[in-house]
Amino acid sequence: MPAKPVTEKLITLISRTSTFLAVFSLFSMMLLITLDVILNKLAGRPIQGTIEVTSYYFMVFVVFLTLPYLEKQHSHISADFIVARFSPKVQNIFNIIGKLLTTLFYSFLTYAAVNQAIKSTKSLETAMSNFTFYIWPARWGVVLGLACAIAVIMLYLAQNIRNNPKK
Amino acid sequence: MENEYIGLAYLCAGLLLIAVNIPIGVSLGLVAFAGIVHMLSEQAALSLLVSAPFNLIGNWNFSAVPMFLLMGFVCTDGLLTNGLFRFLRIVLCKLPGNLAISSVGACALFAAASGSSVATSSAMAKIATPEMLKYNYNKGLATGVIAASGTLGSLIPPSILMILLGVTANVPIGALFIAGIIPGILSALIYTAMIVIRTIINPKLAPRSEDRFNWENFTQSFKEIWPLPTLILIVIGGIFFGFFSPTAAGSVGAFFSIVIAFLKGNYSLSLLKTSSIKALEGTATIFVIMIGTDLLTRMLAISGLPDLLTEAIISNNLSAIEFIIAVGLVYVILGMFIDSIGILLLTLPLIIPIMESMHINMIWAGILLIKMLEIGMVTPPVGLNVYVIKGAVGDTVKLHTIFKGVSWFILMDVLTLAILIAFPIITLYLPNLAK
Repeated sequence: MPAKPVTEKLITLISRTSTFLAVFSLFSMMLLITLDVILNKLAGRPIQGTIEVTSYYFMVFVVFLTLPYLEKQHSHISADFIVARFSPKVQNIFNIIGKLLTTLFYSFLTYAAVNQAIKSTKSLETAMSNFTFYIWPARWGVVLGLACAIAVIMLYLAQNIRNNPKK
Repeated sequence: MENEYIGLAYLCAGLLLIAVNIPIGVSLGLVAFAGIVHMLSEQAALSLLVSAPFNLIGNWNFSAVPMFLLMGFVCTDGLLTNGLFRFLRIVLCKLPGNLAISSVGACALFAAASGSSVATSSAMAKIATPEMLKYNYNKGLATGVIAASGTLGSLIPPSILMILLGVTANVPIGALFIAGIIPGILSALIYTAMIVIRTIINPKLAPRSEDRFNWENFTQSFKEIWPLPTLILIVIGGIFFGFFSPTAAGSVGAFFSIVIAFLKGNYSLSLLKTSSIKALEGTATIFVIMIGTDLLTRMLAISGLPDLLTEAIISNNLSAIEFIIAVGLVYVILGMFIDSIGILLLTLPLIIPIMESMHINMIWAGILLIKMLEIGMVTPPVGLNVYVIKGAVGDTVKLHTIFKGVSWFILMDVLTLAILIAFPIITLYLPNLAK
């Protein structure tokens, strides 16, 4: 069996690591909210900061750290009713255009997210809450997820172009 | 060029990108970004890009999406939905067309757990359709009933479409969930009545099965299925009585579905990993579209296009009902090409301002929109659910036979829709009671 190309190995590594963290966040979120409900209803003592930790940390990781996997699996919602009628070669061109546009969109988001993260870190940004709750580290979670997603798309494109050389 | 036309031009460009298979969220996000740069400035567009993702993620209600998706995938992967069809065919064995009617009920319960029309249709087509075909049921009925009943998933809570509608249109999700209960049951009852009447008129459509009621079978299959309805009752009952928010209900539902799945012995850590990755994938997919829609909403608001449309509709004396029916027709057309989440999020930025200006009750309208979206899932030539059924049954049943079979159910859906439009109290009774 031929060895997997380096690009594929890297794609798998990035998406697997980030998905692992996303799964961890998903379960942490579920357990925290469930425990909060149980403690609140049975003992009248909710866990302080449940909403903040969920919204600013767990959800950021759940969503953004899944983006690399989403790109690896090509599982965006799209409408292929026109493109499906074309030949595989033309379909691949549209696929590459789609990937490039996705990279462009993610790049805009990353640019905005990096600026925000730097600003947020400098000011040690906190959430509007009745206690001090730092949210600046979460801003870097957005950057990390987007950057990994862009890396996966780039590696995929490199692999795609290498496998379909122009003749 | 006036801003309204600029907005319209960018919206059309977005639709064009969607048509050539560019991801919906990316298409909308990019044209919205370009539109804002065109009308305002690059700085304004970038500042919206900063706020949009965090505003959405910071919305506590959006956290309900991964929780309910996880609960749904655990219920289906952990086989908690197994046995529903078998149980109902024992209970309903005396009714004409009992296998088809049992399919409606099983689909409704399956859909309530999974929250997905496609997952429901795909699973039930493998369980119920072969049984119906074995008893020489009409092929159109045996497949059409699953395609149509699968759509009940979005109407019967918990429903992902309702969460997205609630987050986007700022409508209480708990109220939407509760509002969907009676319309969902009504849809199932109207399907059932149609099957019974058609079978009485033409018994060949659904020959009698050999099912006979006996307590031993009943208790045995009840033991297998009881955790699922109980879980759904806890989740929906908890929201109805104000015991917990939709997000908390989703978390509790997901947690207990995992516990039950392991206790039943059909589940493993590897399946749990599969369920959670599917839930993550669904959440991220929805999120990308929602970011695109959020930016599109802002771009359109800057352009003033929604105001122009609202004025045009009001000056033409279009009533609320006429407007809703017009939206329904658009949904049926779009349903041929795009899945229901995409259609809902794509159209809401234009629909919400108009509905607000018409002072339409958003809970009532939301349920109607969801019902219409689901009709779009089974309308020819490209009803998504119909293709799911076709994929599951293979060459046994031809595509046009499924469409023919489902057409009876579409007629019933139109009847249900007419009833829901004529009597808003059917939809609003339970949310009013919950207040």
